[in-house]
Amino acid sequence: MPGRPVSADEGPPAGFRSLGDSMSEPDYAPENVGILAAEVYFPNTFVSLTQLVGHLKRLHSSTDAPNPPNLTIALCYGRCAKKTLKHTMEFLLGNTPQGSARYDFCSLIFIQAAFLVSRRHSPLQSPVRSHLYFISLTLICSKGLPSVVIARTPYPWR
Amino acid sequence: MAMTVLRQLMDRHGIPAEDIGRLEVATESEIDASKSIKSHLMMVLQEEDPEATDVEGCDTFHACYAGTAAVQNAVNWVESRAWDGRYAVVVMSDVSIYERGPARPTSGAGAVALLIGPDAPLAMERGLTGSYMTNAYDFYKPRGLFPVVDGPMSVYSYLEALDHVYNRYSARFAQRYGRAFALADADHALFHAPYNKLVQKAFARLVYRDLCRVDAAQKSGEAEANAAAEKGDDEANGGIDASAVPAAIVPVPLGEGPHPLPPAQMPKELEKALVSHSFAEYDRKVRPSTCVSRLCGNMYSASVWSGVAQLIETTGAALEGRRIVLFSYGSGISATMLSFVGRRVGGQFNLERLQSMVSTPLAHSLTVIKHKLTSTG
Repeated sequence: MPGRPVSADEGPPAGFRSLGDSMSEPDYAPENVGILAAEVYFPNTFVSLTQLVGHLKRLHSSTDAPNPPNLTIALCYGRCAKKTLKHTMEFLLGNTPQGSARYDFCSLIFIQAAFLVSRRHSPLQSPVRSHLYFISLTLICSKGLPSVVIARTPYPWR
Repeated sequence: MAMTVLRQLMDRHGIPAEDIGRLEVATESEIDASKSIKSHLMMVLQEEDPEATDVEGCDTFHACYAGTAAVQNAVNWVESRAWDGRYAVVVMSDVSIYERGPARPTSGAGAVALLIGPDAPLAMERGLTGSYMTNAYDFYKPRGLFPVVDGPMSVYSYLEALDHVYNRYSARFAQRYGRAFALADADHALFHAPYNKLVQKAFARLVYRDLCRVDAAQKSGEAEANAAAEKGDDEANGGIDASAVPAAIVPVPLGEGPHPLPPAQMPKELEKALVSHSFAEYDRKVRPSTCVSRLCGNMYSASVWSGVAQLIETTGAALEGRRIVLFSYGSGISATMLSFVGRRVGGQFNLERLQSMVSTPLAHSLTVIKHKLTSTG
């Protein structure tokens, strides 16, 4: 705990400043307020689609229902034409690869398939290879702690 | 992502749920039009302590600026009479996605959690801030997930807002210290990063603003010196000697004025020259905080604040005594420039310890990303 404010009749201790005359308590506020700690979380795990589907299948099979109620496909879009990606989408969505949703209030699957067209954003230098596709997927389960899987697959689809 | 980063913050720093008195969330990726993401985060607190329900704060919403508003709310709460002695936590979480087009490669996702409290190793400089708020349609989401983006307008709006907040921040600085603020007064600069090229341009823009001031002072000095020389009276103008005025104080020829030119009227050549001229300083002051945004893409509200964690990771205890200037921009438009100062503090939140705690996951993650990207080719 950072420490409770002191009462007005004690005077400001070190590290606190007066807020002026007031009947309200506390009458002193701390100084040097700012950032004590910072954490970052970002989609950084690069996995293959095979790993991705494997993980989802394990998750899928770990529940009783064929369409587990704790899975929600909230968003699905992007380039779904390619075979592997299409299969992934079909696995996730049944046979509606363009984004119908089974909705559940307490969970979320987010799928993002994006198409990187800029050479600056690609490590691949040739004009053809500079087209870098990736799919990123966020999966949050409702049971227990949020289990978040983010996969971002840099994969030259063509 | 928001739940994960909150849990990460609490676990790594041993913050019990009962010690969190305010929880602010910043996002523009809301998952419900009414129910806040903060309400979902309460599950994380209550999983540890079912009684942890006395927690103020809720979601803050304004494009990429929301994180800054949430941080200001948290800091103001701790500094206010309303503070009850507990920590404030700010969570920023966003997914940025675009329709097919030039903006799509800037897509990204990420979350940041900040622990706010007194006696901080990165203390906000109270009163040193400048804001700019107005109405514009440079980026907005009128019909769901994909934003409508006017790219050029968004870039110019970003740079114009930067001009305004820099002027206002400089004015506040001058009130306090009796001299104009210059980039030399900042050891690090963090910028909202839709994509990194804009960050480079923004930093070069600040360099340009400083050069304009030097240029104006030089011309003013020359004029005064010339006037004195014509009069044959050096003493009348403070002893200024025209020959003593350096001919090339401004390293980048600014060309036709009047300077400073608005962002939309900047010649491309001058802009490139400024980026090139400022690159070494950019490398030192800005680059250490841009790893995640360069590799991960735009994280909207979390974008600029992810730089804080990276700065702690890359710089650690060396931040003590250094000023970190931060520029936050949200389309629409809200912008603020504010600053922090690194401090030596005792206890668990000293910078050296914080550096050791964040360095492993970030550095490891970035190494993995680089390796995967390289091996893909």
